[in-house]
Amino acid sequence: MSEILIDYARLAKRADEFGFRRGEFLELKAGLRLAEELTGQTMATPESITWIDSLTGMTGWVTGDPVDGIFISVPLSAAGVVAVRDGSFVPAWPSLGHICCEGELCGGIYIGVYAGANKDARRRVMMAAGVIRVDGFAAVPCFARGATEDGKRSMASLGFQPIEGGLSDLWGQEPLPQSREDAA
Amino acid sequence: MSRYPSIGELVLARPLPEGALEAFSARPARTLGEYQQAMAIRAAVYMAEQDCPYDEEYDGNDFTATHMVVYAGVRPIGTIRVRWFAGFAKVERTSILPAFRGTPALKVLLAETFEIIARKGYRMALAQIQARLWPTWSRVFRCRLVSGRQGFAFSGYEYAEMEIPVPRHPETLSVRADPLQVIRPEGAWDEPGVLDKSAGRPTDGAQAA
Repeated sequence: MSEILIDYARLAKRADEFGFRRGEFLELKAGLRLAEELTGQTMATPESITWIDSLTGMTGWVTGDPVDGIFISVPLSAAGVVAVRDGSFVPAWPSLGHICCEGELCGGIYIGVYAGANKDARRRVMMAAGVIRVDGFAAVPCFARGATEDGKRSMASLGFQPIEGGLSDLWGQEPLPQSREDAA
Repeated sequence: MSRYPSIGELVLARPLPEGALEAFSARPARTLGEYQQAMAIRAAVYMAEQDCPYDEEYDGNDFTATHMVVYAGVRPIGTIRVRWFAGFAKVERTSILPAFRGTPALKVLLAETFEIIARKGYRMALAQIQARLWPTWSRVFRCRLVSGRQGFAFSGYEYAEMEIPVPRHPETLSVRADPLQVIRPEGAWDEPGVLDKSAGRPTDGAQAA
């Protein structure tokens, strides 16, 4: 299993290019409420996302003022990748050992939530998700849940495929082939 | 305490069970009587059960620490001690009376304790645990053993160091917090205290130097 060191400054810069910033508690609360309204699903609490974000340094992203889009990314440790695949990962309340804390080696990434309130916000969310995946985490597997039909279509358009045996509605994408420049 | 400890709860390996805060409550010892409750519980657990010598149990750090007491109704049944250092809080002397082990009392005590730790702005807690109890503690907290450190021994037990990341509290009591809020009783920062009530009294008109 390949592992990477995350370039946090580059990640924040790329997110900023699509209008995303690390959310404060109240912004995350607003973003998660928005996601619940849009998907009809119960989300992790803002407290829990704050806990994860404070350890990973890259989890709770929001866009718009007021917030009209949210993107939750959880970098995983090698043990976390195994846990996602075998179903023991708890997205709303992950074990400390399953997440990649700031500065540790990252074995994969789990996209917890992505939602936008309008067409422009949805475009920004999808662009940010795609670019961060390709730009920062190509060498490791990426996971997300297909909670809604719309979400499944979005994931399929990004090249994700359903994965059996892990979390329910789990979709994933194995590491992307390295470009010639990267391999040189 | 009066608010749900939604940040303190996050250090636990699992959320508080439903009904836990109805059955148990925890707060800082603020009076001599409550302090004595904490000491009595520790005498029962450490001195009576674990045969800890008196001088080692009451080690000179009690009057300088924060003590939390957990109650079943009005009955004190457990306690924990917190001491404050540069950038971390040290949690120690965790004890629950035998009849209440296996109940949510411990989780309530820890959630309320870590709510206070987080509210004060601390982002890391340290515990020295009996090494044999790591499997147990790792099921209680979202925690890890401190890497690259040797174990050590005192009072007849082998110990290891465990660190517990503390979430950022959205309502940290910072240096710019409401001046009346920071003089309220410890842990009761969101309810008007006795000094709030005194704020309406006429002043002597003197200005601060």
